[in-house]
Amino acid sequence: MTAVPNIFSSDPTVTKEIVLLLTQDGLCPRCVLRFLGAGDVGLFRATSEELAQKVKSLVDDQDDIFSPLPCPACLGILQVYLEEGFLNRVVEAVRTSDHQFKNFICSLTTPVCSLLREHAILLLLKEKFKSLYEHREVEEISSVKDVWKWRSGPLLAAALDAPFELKSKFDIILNFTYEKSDKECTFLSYHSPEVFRKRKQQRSYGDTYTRANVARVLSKMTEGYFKRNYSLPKSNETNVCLCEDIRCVHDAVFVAGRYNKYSRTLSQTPWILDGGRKSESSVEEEICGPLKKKFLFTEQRFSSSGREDVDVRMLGKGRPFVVEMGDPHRVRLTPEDLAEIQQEINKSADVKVRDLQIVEKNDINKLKEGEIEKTKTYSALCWSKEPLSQEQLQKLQEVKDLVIYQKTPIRVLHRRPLATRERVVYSMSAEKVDDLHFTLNLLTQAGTYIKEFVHGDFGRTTPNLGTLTGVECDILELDVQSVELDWPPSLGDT
Amino acid sequence: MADDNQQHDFEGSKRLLESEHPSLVDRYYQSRYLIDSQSKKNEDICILTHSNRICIVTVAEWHPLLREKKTISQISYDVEGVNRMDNKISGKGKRGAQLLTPSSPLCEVTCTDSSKYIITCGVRGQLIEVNETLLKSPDLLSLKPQTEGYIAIVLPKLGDFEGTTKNLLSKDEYIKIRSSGT
Repeated sequence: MTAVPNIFSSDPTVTKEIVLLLTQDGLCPRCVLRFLGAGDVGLFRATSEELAQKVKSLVDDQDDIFSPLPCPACLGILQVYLEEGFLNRVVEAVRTSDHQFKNFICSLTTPVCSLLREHAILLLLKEKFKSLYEHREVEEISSVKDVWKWRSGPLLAAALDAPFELKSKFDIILNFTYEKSDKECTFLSYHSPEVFRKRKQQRSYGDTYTRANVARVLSKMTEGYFKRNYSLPKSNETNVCLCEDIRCVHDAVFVAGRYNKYSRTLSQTPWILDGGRKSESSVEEEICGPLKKKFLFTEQRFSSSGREDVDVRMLGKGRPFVVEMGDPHRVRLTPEDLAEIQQEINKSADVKVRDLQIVEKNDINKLKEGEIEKTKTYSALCWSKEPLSQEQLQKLQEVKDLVIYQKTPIRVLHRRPLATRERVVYSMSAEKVDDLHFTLNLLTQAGTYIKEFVHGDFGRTTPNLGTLTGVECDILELDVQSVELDWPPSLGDT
Repeated sequence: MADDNQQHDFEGSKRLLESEHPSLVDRYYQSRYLIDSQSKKNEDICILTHSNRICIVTVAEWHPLLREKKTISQISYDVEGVNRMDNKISGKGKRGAQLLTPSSPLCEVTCTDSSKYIITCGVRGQLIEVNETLLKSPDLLSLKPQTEGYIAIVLPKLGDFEGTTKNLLSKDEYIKIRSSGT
């Protein structure tokens, strides 16, 4: 009768031989159990001492089968990194990071060479215990990551007073590194050099050998080639992982709303050129400032349904926007909290916000829908070289669904590709202001360059107001009156 | 809550309405000049430079074409063995653009009195586009030399804008030289 249920071998004599073979190579109790085929979460919840006892019972309670050195299979992850000392370090790191969370998960990154180790041990077992292991895949062996989580999950949950939840938005990331990992993998690049082509710029340490490409090569490599070119490194005090990096990250939280811009000197996003600011603040910063004070995030990404120039006002119900708040340290915010943030933002004379609300990540697509399909209405203060008659202004009103062709405006040609865009001006109306000035109201397709439609951009937008009236025109001021997008949902703000 | 200024803020616009109207070119472009292009007397070109470093090559008012009020019969972008119409660029980086130097010929202008003029580039950079409207309406060059009658758009490389424009004359310098009767 085995003390360990559900392992590959049902013969205690064979089990004993397997254990002795593995412990001879220095494997720790948990790794021995893994390669025996154990996969019960309950089993792996036990302490290191209990598990050592269990394994010893499989070899008639022989003493001293376990090496005091780091295990070559898990490189210490299932040994020292499951002890109280390390788990306390993790708890301490979480407390220091000062995140608000209701549950958590742990993500581990393990050294890439552990793939080679697992492969080597499995091949050894296939060779010595053919009938038992011949058809075993590495996926049938419980992974180091899973075993680590099975043991530490409940312990951390108790210490943090929050449950361990697979779908949690709060991630405690443990990065286990092993400096000799790349060196161990180099023999792979002789076998498959095309897989490990060094890129022009190596983005970060350990970029050449990734789990993905190492796994791919191992699956193509013959057992013979592997055995000839790789052997499990001998256990050694220094052959252990380091975990210098414990990082806590909360999933991004998304806030949406609509903004108005009343200033003609405020850019939408921070405008920095040649090391100096071109605009003192920005719509993005006016909105994100108060948000950051409450959500305590580290990164922000501001998206909106289209954009207006610095010198253009955004009137009407405002332009829909979404702020992605990366790694927010505070997440338990109520609609009342959001209303407070909105009030804070609205203290600004230049920017006003409405319908501020938390939304889901997928909702960002709704924002971009508006950019292509929807219509926009504008109001422009225009100048004409000669006075326009009432008839000429009336004629503009009769224009319906006018197709115009706009080459990339010269003012953005330095950073956009040269192209001709077909756009539609659905309708217009004009009111005289004085002899040489009039207000032009337009309803156009999204993506129409209004300024260029008015002044013609050296004739590169045709037809344009100049060709329609027969008189040279120019634009003095532009306001966006509305952005036709029914999102985010109105909160009934006045 | 939000105070929506639906109407035009006429207090702010009043200033605009009362002042003289600076043209599109005046507002966004600096006019720079190249005198006697290719050592041809009086064949001046005017380069309109935008703050984003784009250069628009135009014919200056002093050029015989405009000064002598010539009638243009045709404009061709196939000049001195290069066809500017073959210019095909793609992407933000304007790959495939013909590379121009100050002496690169852009087009050949033929007049009804049989005189011909070659307009050269004046700056170094990538050819973005030539004004194809001039093919069908060459008179635009005489009518609106500084706007619809432009010759070509050139984009100097990032970092080269200063270098390639420093030898061009500013408007003030140019006026001084040309008004002293030379």
